[in-house]
Amino acid sequence: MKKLVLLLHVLGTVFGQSTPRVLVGLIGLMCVLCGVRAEARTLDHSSGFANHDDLMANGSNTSAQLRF
Amino acid sequence: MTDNFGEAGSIFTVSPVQITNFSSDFEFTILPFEIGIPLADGMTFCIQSAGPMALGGSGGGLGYELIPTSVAIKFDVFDNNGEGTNSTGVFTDGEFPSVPKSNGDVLIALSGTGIDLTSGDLFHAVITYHNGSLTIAITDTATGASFQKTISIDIPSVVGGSRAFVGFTGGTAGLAAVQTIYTWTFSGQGPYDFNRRPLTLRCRPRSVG
Repeated sequence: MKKLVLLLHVLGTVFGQSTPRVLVGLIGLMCVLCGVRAEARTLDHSSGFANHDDLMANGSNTSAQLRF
Repeated sequence: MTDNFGEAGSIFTVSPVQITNFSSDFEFTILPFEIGIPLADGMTFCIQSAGPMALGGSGGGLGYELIPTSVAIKFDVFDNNGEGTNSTGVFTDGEFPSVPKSNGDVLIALSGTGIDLTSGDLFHAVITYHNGSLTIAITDTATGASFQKTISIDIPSVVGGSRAFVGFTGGTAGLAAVQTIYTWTFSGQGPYDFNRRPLTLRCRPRSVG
C-alpha cells in the first residue's frame, strides 16, 4: 500500500495531479472488464467444466452427490 | 448416484438445454455395495421437463419412476419383472423401467452382447439423438466389448418441447449398488442462450466410489 501511494505521488509529480485519478479509473475499468469476462466463462460451457451451479443433485437418502 | 440401500438419487442440469439433437457421453460403474451381495437396481440417463429437482422412485424405479414428461435410457442390473439382470432400454413418462408397458417403451437385453453391466467394469456410454433416431452405444473399457442399438423416438414430443433438463437417476432397495458417473459431456445442437454456442457440460469427480 505504501508503495502504491508512493507510485501515485511520483506519477502525480511527473504527469500532473490528475494522473492518480486517471489511474484509479483505469484500474476500475480493468476490474469491470475482468468481471464481465469471468461471467462469460461461467456461462459458456463450450470448452470448460460445469460447476455446482450448473447441476443439481437430489436424493431420498442424500445419495446423489456432486464431487468435482 | 447411490451408495447404500433404499435410495433414489438424481442429478440434473439446473437449466433446460436443447434436446432436438444431442450427444451425451459419459463413463460409469455399477459396483457391489458389499462383496458377494447381488447388485441392485440400476440407473438411467434421463431427459425430462419436470424440473431440476425431479426425483423418481427407489429400487426398480431407478430413481426415474413417476417423473412425468420424460424419457429414460436405463442401465438395469436387477430382475424385477423378467427383464433380467443385464439390460438397457428406453422408457417414457415415468413408466416403471423394467419391461415395456406402453407403446414406445423398449427393453434391450444385453446378455450375449459382450456387455455385462454387473461386471464392475468401467463403461463408456454414448447416447446420440439425431433426426428422431436415438442411438445407445455402450463400451466395456476393460474388455473392449461394445454394443449399439438405434431406435426411433420423438423425444421433443414426449417431453413437451425442444428444451429439457438432462441428467441421471439411480435407485437401490433391499439390495444395493454404488453407482457412479465419472465423466459426462452433453452437447446440445442448436441455439443456446449465450452466444448461440452449443452447450457442453463436463463433470469429473475428484474421487471415485
